[in-house]
Amino acid sequence: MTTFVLRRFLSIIPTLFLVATLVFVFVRFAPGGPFTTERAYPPEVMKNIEKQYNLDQPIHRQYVTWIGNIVTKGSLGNSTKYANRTVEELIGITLPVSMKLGALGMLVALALGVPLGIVGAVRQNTWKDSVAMAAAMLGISIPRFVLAPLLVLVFSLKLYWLPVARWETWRHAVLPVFCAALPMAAYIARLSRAGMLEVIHSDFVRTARAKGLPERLVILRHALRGGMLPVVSFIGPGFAGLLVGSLVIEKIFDIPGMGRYLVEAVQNRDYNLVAGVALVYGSLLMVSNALVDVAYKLLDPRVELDR
Amino acid sequence: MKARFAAALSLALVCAVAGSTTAGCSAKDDSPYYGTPTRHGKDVHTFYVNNGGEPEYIDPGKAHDTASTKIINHLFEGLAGYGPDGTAVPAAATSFDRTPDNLYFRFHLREDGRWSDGKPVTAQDFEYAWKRVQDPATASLSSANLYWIKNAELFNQGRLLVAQNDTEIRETSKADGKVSGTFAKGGAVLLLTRSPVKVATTIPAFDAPPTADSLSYDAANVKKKLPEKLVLNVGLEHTPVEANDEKRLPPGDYDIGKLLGPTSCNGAADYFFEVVARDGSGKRGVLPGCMLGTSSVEEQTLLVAKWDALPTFDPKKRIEPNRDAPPIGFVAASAFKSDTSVLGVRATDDRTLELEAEYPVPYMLDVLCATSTFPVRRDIVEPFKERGEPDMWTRPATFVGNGPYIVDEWKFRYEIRMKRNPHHRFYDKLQIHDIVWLAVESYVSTMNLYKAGEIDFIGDNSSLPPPYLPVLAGKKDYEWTNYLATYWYEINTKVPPLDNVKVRQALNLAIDKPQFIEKVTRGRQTPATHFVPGYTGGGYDKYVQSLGADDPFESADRKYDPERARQLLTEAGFPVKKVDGGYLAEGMPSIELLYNTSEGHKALAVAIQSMWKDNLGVSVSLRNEEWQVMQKNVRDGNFQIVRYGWVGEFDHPQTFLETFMAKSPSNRTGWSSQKFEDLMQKARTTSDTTESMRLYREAERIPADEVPKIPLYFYSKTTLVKPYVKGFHFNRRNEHLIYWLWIDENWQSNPSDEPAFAVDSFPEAGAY
Repeated sequence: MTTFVLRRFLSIIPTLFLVATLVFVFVRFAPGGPFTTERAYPPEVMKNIEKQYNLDQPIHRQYVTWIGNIVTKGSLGNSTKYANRTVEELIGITLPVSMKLGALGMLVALALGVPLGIVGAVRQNTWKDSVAMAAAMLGISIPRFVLAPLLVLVFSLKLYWLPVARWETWRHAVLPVFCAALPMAAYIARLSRAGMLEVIHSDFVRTARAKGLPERLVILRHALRGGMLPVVSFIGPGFAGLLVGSLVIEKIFDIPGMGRYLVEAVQNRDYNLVAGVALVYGSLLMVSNALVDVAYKLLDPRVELDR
Repeated sequence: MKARFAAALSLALVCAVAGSTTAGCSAKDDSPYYGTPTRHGKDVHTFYVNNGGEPEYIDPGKAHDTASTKIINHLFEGLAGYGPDGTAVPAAATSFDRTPDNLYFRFHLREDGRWSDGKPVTAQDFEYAWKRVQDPATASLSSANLYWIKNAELFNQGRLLVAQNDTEIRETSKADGKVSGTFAKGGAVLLLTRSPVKVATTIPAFDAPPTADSLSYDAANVKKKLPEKLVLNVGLEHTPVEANDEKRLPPGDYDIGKLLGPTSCNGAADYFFEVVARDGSGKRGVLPGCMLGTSSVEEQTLLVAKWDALPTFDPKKRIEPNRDAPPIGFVAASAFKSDTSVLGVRATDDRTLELEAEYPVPYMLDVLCATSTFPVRRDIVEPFKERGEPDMWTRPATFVGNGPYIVDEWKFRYEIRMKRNPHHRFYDKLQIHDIVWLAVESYVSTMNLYKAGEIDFIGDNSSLPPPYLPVLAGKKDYEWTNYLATYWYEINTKVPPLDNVKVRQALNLAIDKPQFIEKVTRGRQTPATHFVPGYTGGGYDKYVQSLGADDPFESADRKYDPERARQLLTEAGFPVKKVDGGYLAEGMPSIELLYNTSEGHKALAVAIQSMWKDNLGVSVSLRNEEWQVMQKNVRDGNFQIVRYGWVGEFDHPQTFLETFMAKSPSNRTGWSSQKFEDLMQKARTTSDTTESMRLYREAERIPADEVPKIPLYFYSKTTLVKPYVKGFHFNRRNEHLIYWLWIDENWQSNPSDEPAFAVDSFPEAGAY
């Protein structure tokens, strides 16, 4: 088990390296640069500003310096747009906010989605199942940029229950977390229903029932563990998706998170920031996938790890 | 509660179905204000406002985005600053002297100016700050804002150098060339070219300078498979010179032989040079400077001309620059350095700053409100520069400013809290003690925050989304003003059929401007038949008023006239015929309209596309590009018609008309006119305001007739500010400094709308 975990996590490093390299190179192929603006600046000024960011070097030299600084100093360089901030500082400020939003969103999504899925599976083809799955379908279909203004309109501007935006108290977190969670919850509901259905009809559950266990215990003690496997494998990419996809929520609710940089940094040609953000998201995604693999092993004894 | 919830929910669902989540659905709201007009649990001395984004630079010398300048306006102050109505009022200076021709200025600084660490604000601080902005090593992207300082532009381009010691002048670029004289230490030179240079062109060199008024040169573009191109322009004749691999000079390093006469290349002054191969093969040829590259050979010599036009600070001894001065010969590069002493600014004592301008600046007070002229402290900035972290001094821990506020707390991309600067003279007068600047980028969220009473003013950097305007129109907290900016389409006058002036005139006359303002932009903008908004200051507005009905730009022949447009297009060789109830311009190729990706620009482009189709039978394709990509393509001349606009940098017609000068970086049209340039020069040097404005107007008529840019509208600005905010005067500069404001808890019974405290004004300028 330890070897597996170790090997699983070590395998992340070369992949990350590849991601970093590709992003570093590709973002420089986009037309224009970080200092392309309406006005053409004197070449002497451009030369100095490019020197400051090392952009006057050939691309392979820039790359070596960049990787070198990461490995030796842990430094991702300065942002070109926000000149007095380093990339690691920007990420340090904004990532915790996104993590909080993402983690809360995931928890709420699980709390809503899993019971809904179980109900759907246990009461398959009844009205309860239909209602649960219709709700899930709706949740998946409404995009967040529609959901968010709707929630604001109803709960903030009409009912005055919650703040319209910003990131201060728990009350500020309710709408964005809910907004992040809802589509995710819907997806989880469908996944857990499918997973549960498969397990419910398997032999060991039938055995449990035959033993005369009460239905509640059959579901919770025997079926649930296996039925949740699809959900567990979804948590990893789901969580990463929540972080990446928080762009809309961050904009509408003015949350100082990291989601927006993924798009914005590219638009601004903020080379260092693009690469830094890609690295962080890449590692988040890979680490959460690795964690899911480990959790899989713990949940399902049939999974072989050392192959 | 349940019923209320259900009502709200059903309203929301109806709105969602109708496709409008906010604007259309607040129509039922019949309150005279947008959202709550009362403040809940907020200190009367704390002001909440949206800044619209995170500032990029808090360094006055480097800032070039509005999110930064707005913050800098509160953390620093220049010699002058914006008053409540957007006009210049005294700030660090209390009075000034000037010459009638607006070339020399002397500013007198106030005694009680203090930095936030208690030290006095001195004239030396300003001198240092202005020179720093021009220093190419500072790499300021706003250096062009200060090009009115004598010699600033050439200095900023690294072309004005000063001898560090006595130096030999040689006749050739070789280190052992014949010595023709010595150049004394401290003298200034204009750099004409460095030697050696790299030659990599595939265009064959000339034997002697060709006959041409000007050159257009495009380097090869491998990605787009565009070959290298050189065009010789003589009048309206354009003669291309073909690339020829066999006749080209072999690529490599070349010495500069001699300078063979001036020319102009891609709009910039240039020279023809004789180049001689360094490999001893004796290959030589004549090429313009714009086709020569930088050589990596370390030991360089410079071909220079003497530069006499140093600042004298004495109107009687002014030396006009001679840009065509003959070269004096070659000097060693190592003996010369960039030196700020060539710049026309100096502090004569702690409280007196003298300025010698490059050209007349009648709008001087106005440009002094620009943040790039604000002072910074040498002892704070330099240590960071030496450490190789030139931007880090603006961090709160080390920051020192001279404005009425200092930073209290800074949450990146979330909010900036400011408190009063204890050393500032306004400390006791300020009604607003703390300012909370939000960094909300989304306009809709800004509106929501305003509606919920979280912010008192949506801020100068926020705009109201057009769909909201009908809802807001009747509200008492909704404000409207003319804004000093023009929206226009720039035409690439180098490509057919747009090189034909009649085609451009036809396109202009076929646009129904009042109609798209009513239907598309909807902000009560003013339809434009020319380029300078009629309400521009500096005397322009008064001059326009005096014209009254005789204003030539208001005459009928400049307004929407599809009939005449069709006639013009026909005369241009594209006969417009009636076909199935519509029109077709025969032989007219399809035109491409380029704009940067944005809903607003798109809506307008679509409207104009259909007007050109319906009125002229010209088919137009739309191309939208991300801002950065668009800049690149426009600069490469890869466009036909492109959307731009111009926001007045100062309140004077010069700022708009300057963009039509041949050398202006904001003129992408390829259009130029000597008559226009002459009139502009005359207008700027005329000290009588009325006569000067008459000349500006005369100059403006030339591009208005020849249409290198199609003027579309003069901007308007709309905003929301809570009724309890007093001292707010919505102005055409869109500059509203928070320190003039105050919050009136008794606003309903108190009609006063005076600023928070008395505003000074400059006394009449003294004689320099």
